[in-house]
Amino acid sequence: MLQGAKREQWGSRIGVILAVAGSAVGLGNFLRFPVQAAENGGGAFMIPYFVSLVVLGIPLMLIEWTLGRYGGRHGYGTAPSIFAISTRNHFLKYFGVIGIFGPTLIFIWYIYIESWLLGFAFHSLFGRLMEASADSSSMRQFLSAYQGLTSNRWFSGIGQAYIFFLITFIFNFWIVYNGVKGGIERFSIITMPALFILGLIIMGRVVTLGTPDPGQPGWNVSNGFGFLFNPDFSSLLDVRVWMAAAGQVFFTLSVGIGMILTYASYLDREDDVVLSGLTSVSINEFAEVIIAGSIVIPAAYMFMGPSGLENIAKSGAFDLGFVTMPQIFFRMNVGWFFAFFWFVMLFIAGATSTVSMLQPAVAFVDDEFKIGRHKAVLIIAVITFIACHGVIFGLAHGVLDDLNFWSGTFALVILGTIEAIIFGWVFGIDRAWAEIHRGADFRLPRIFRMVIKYITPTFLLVILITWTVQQAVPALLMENIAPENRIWVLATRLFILIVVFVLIWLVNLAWRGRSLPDIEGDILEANGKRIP
Amino acid sequence: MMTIGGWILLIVSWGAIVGLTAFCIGMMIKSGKM
Repeated sequence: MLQGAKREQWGSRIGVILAVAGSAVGLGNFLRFPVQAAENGGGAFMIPYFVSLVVLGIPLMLIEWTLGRYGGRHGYGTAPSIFAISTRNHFLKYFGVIGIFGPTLIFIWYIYIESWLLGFAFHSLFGRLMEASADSSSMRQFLSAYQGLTSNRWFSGIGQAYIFFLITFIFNFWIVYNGVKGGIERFSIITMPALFILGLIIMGRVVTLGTPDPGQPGWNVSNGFGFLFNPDFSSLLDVRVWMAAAGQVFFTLSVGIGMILTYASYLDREDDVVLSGLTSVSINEFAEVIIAGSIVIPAAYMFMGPSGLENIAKSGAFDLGFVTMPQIFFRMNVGWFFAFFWFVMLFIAGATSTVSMLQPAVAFVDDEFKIGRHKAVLIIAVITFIACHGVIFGLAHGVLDDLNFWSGTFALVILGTIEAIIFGWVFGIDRAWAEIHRGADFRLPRIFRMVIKYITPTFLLVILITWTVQQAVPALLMENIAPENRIWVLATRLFILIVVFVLIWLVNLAWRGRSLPDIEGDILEANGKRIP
Repeated sequence: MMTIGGWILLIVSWGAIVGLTAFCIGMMIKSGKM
């Protein structure tokens, strides 16, 4: 029996597209992409990036949209039950636990960083950030004191950071509490256009800066773009560049996390997923390549020069966003205005992502245990609120970095690989192809059948093996963790294991005595014999 | 400075994204389902 009609649904097509695009457009678009491109061959990076987008990003996006809609049709919105009913295999539901564990754990550390953006937007307006922006050293001291790691003339404790965290946390849950249509969709429809307007304003300012320092005529906008786009074709032979490009596509599209599965489960059974999926990809790429690519690296080049920019790129994406960019904005006329816009834009990008991270856990509790949405939201709020304190007070001990690696890097590749294999091989490519095109506004080129069945899973397996050897094994052995922080990291891993085992137990509990739905009708429909 | 190769990659990558976005919006308007 189909239970989909009982579940909430999106109010409009543009609403779901903007919500999925909002989930995808996050801090990674504005901070991670420019650094990755500049570090990995400049313009030549765009070649593996676009190849990865076509053979990895777009297929995974379509797989998640399609499997999510399929699950929603049977009354389920999260990976465990979607894997079970789409494959008629009870055991596979346990692999789906990653689709709840991943986004929830990412939320726990991401929400804290998002709250810094709100705090920095506030201090851009009220002058304190301008005082600190004289050089990198004072900006780092400002950030460190804001985080409660040190005490100085700007902050004497973690109080302000905690207040902005509470505001951000309550704001996120308030949106989710209001539902898919009344909360997330409405929020996305208002904020996504605002994000693009802010981004285009900042981009317009950066590309019209010309040569801001007459004493350094070479530090100009053209050379800034050259730093990002001048190709180093020798990098195309470097496997690490291809892995970096594939990784960036993964992070930027929010695939392999489980959020899009859940969002798509609120679609109607005949809603298009092909055009909607592609539109959300194009919106995300516009924000990443065109807007973010035109802001961060060109601006940093114009104010810091090529050697300064190389150091900035090496110091990482968060340093770029919180330390370098404020210095750059405050060297411009009315810099406070652009710094404020920058942090508000990043806050919107973060918030549209974090609300999507909450949805799988909320949908899991609501769908599987039928306790009602509001109760589900409150339960998840209490659990995540407690867990966030580990990140807030363990920041100096590497808790955030470790959670980031296991939930925000490794889990994505594992879930993406499982999804691709289930969709192309267990669900079956014939059913998959028919299911993708149910209600579609246009048909994909037939070559995508082969891509989804063979190329995407193979590419993912290569990434999974490479990352396991290069990153997961050294991380597991704590090779780069300071000895004094190892106890904190071990505690973090124990917490992750507990979360995984509790989720496995909950999935087992939810499915106890439950049989798989009859999907004979789905199979006949996939074979072109529509059931009346 | 920006080389010819840099300009080509910038124009091709921006063009691909703007083209895909325009195609998607056009198809959505054509389908009449926004």
